[in-house]
Amino acid sequence: MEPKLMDARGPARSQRTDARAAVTALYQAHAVGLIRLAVVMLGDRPAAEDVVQDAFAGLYRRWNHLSGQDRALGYVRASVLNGCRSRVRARVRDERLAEATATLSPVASAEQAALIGEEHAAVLAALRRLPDRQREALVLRYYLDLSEAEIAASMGIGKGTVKSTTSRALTALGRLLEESR
Amino acid sequence: MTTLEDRVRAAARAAADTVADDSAPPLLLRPGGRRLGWPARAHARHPWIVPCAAAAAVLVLVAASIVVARAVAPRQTIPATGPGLATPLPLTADGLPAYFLVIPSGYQQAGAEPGNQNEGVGPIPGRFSSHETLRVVATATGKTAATATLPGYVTEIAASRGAFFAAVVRGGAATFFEIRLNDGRTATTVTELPIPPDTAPLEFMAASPDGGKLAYSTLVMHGAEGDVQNLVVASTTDDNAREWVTPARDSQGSMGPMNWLADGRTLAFSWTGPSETSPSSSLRLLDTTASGDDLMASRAVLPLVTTAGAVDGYSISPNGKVVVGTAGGPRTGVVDGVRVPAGSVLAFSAATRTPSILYRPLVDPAKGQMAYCNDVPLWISNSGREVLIDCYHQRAADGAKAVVSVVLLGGGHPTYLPWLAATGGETTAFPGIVAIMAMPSPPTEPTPAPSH
Repeated sequence: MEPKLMDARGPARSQRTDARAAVTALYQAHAVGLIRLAVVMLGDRPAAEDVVQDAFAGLYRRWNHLSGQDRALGYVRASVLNGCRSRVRARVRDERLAEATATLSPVASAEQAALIGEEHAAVLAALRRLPDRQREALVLRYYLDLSEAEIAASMGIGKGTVKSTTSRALTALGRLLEESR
Repeated sequence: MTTLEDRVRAAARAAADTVADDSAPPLLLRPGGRRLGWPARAHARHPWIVPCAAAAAVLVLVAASIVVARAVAPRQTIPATGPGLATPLPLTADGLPAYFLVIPSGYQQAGAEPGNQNEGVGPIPGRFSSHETLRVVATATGKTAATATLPGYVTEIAASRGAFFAAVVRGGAATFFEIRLNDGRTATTVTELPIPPDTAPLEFMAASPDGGKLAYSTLVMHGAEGDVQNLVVASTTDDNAREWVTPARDSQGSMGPMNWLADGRTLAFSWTGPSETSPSSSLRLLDTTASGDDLMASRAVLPLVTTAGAVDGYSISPNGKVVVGTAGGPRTGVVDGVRVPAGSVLAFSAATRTPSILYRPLVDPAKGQMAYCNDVPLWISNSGREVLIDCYHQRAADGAKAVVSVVLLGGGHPTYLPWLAATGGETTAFPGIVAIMAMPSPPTEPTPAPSH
């Protein structure tokens, strides 16, 4: 199924809908799509679920302060991207410790490779080594199929920056894949 | 369309397809929209556990909420003024703070895993209850001098010269407590502080040297930008508090651990912008007595990336003259013409930004040896000449098992304090600085210092 989150609005249109009901309904409609997005970013289902839960909890908290509740989905997706970014940074720190302790075997990578195949696992591993912006640009462009304008809005950057970031990301990704061969 | 673009598209979809339709766990919303700040899971769960864990988590949260609400109700009356400031505790012969506070790391070993029969029974689920009883440890011996039991899940701790502090999550909000050692230093007194409860999740906390102020960072929602950092500085003796916010232009940044300077008005914190090389990524100093609420009005002191390498964050000596960080990541640097290996502890002059190497880790792949020092020191002396830090060592002789050493760096010489290594994997608070320690597998017994 082709993910296309930007077009979905759900019950958040109603300005006065009870926050809990509205956020819950939005979650029911889009949680799987957002978890998938986070899984692509993180490669870790539990972490992806946590990020999405946190994003919706934050949406619920700020519901009455949103400038436009019809923008709730964009808002929560930006939160998911931020959450993934934080998790990746934390993971980098953890991996540095793991290097010293050698107690964390790459179980997640091995499980993922078994599930999706070596080729895809290699691409995803390289993708997750990219800087935050480059990784996000590629996932938003080639997984969510967002336009440059939509990517710019999601990432809070200019359209020109999207183009250059995507280009640099592809170059870097290609280099990483070559290095890992 | 290039082959590479196709590969990205196919790989992303393959990963996404591992998430089945209708497989999202229930949404857990709490009053105020805050999820409890449980520590991140140390190990990935097996996929089949997820549905069970999600269901169990609902039970745990509901049970915990009910029981915690019963346990703490009626809520303690917030006093008009808090306790007077504590008398400073003594120092050890080495000049180290004589006591520090520890959150035991037992939540993973407490016996309750998702789906375990211990889940959802008892007053507080076992894996969380261990976070309610803290230990005050004597630095000179590593032995527990006293314990302190808090009325809820402890999410952050901090220390001043004379007292310890804990943020406790209960009822969906953080409340704040002072923990003071009694005269005989064999027991503690726990007092709730008059700081207004905060529903935002706390990230880091630091106590001013005299214990009169607590600074804590939170994550709050900001427009369409997602979570951004806020900083609160609250009096511990009355309900006065100030808040600083992240401006929209810096919404992609994040705060790291922080500590107070000896003047009791300047707060130091590391800030990471969109990337470590962003202009804003640096150690910053905030004058908490100056007007305004712009967090980024703070002064940048030292970039996270320098010629000496890249660090995740810095700490600064209380006199404000020495900045300490641990080199890491792929960006290796050079000091005095010599390459700086990852894991080295760096010291910089805050005035001139001149780097020096405080500690060079032992790295000898041929012997199966390697070492790595933690990002944030446990403690820095006022002058910055002494630094206490935890490092991880792995030697072939240990059967690839890593051990923790707590190292006192003074005058370029490491002194190992093996009796403190038992705190590896735990969160500790030394007076004057907050240290976050996290490693997947703490050692089972103290180990002798590696030879150099």
